[in-house]
Amino acid sequence: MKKNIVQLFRWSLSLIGLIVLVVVMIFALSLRPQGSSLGNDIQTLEERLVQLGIPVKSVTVTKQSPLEIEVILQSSGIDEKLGQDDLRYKFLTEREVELAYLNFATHIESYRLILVTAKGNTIYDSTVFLYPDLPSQKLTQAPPSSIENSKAKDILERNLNLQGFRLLTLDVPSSYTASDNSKLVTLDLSTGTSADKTNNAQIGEFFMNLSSQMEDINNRYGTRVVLIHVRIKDLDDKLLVDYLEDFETGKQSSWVDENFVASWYPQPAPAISSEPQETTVPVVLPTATPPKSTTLPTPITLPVAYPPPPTSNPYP
Amino acid sequence: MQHSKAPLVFLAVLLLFLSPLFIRTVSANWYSYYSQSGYYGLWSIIYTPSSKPYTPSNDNQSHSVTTPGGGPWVQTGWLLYPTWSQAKQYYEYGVGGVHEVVQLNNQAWGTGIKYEVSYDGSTGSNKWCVWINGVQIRCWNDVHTAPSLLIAQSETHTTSDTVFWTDFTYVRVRNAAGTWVYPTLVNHVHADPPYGNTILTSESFRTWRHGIFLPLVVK
Repeated sequence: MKKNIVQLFRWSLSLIGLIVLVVVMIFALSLRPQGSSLGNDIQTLEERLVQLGIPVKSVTVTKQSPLEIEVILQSSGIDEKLGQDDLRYKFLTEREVELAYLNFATHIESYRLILVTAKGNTIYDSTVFLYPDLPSQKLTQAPPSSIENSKAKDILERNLNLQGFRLLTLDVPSSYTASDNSKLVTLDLSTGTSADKTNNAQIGEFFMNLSSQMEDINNRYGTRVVLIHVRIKDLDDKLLVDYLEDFETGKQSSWVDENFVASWYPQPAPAISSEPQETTVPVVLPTATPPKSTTLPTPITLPVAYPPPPTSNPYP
Repeated sequence: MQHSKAPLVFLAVLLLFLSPLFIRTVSANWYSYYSQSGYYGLWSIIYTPSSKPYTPSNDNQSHSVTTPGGGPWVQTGWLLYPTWSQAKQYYEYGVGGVHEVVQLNNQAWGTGIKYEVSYDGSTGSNKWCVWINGVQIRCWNDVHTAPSLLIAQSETHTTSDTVFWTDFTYVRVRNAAGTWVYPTLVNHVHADPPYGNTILTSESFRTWRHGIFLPLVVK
């Protein structure tokens, strides 16, 4: 009897050992392909950036779960300022990283984008948190466009309202075009006047209507233009505005020659120099980490915690 | 027959006094705002009006909290282009003529959203972040030293024909101890005519424009 009990105990131990072994193997196997897949995805992302002509120094995973990556670019800037090409580098990189989920199995939850000068100094450093409710994270894979680049170019030349600007060049470079035929359009325009006679209202109106214009053209002709890069020059070929817009993610980036062009985009009110200055010692504040919630709250109507504004005549 | 010139003189003087209310200008930015220095963060619930405000085709309007200009700056709030039927949440970063504005989800008419710019001294250097409804959206290093002047503002660009009426409620500023405290609105609000503002309570104010205007005057 005692011998049987010992035998049963041994078998039980062996069974438990076997189960543990199987569980460990399954766990190890489930981890291995994922890590490898992530490595491949990051490599593919880096290759795509290089293909777009972006001077990538490195793309690294800084945290696996939730996935955080860091992208370091070589800046085209000198004198510790962002260079002219940095605008495009930054813009295209942000799009590729934020839309990586359309191509990869995993979602990037945050990324850090750094631009460094030839001397190794950091001149731009930003961390972006990606939530499922952001417009850039809610896109679905679009059906491929059947419109080739040359045809798209013809369509745009015929239909794009330049609102008084003179067309210098319009191109749909094949180096950008993605597998689903998503396209980048480059547009060089001239004001036809000297820089000091720049019509600011014309510039602002053109850019504010660009998105609705392109949406209309895409809908009518299936051109699938997702990005535009516009350069506006004066009569002497002097660059006044360098502008990029992503019609899918709702992002606009621009450089303007502030000597001649008034901004059409929001910016801070000029500071009042007579403001009293409070003398305080900077303190290290608690780490501000993104909250655990994965969706952005929707707009609130008369929230309980926040008193509604008084209602009265809107025009005092 | 002798006519008195008194009524004409009176009319001229009256128009002179009332002219700031009726000025319509071009090619500049117009602001109506609260600003105060010495803080590490600013938040406010920024409301949209109950319906789409008049915005001419060559202008846009935005209502935001922001760090000051003159160097790198960050801001967040709501933005309206004339072609849009809804206002949109946005955030923005600017440095040396380069700027990036990112449009986010719509903000329905007659609703409020909490927008925040705040300093993060835990990592990086001169790092400022934008938050929307308590969610951290983006941070940038090398923006501005802290404490700083901070601004809650309404803004138009090309023409002061643009009409707005925006409530900033639940305004708070973060002090050196990391505590969110009431702002001092009195003597810290400013507006470029024909825009104005009204302090509603110790934590809320309204920015607005008079609804009528007369002929064009270059600013």
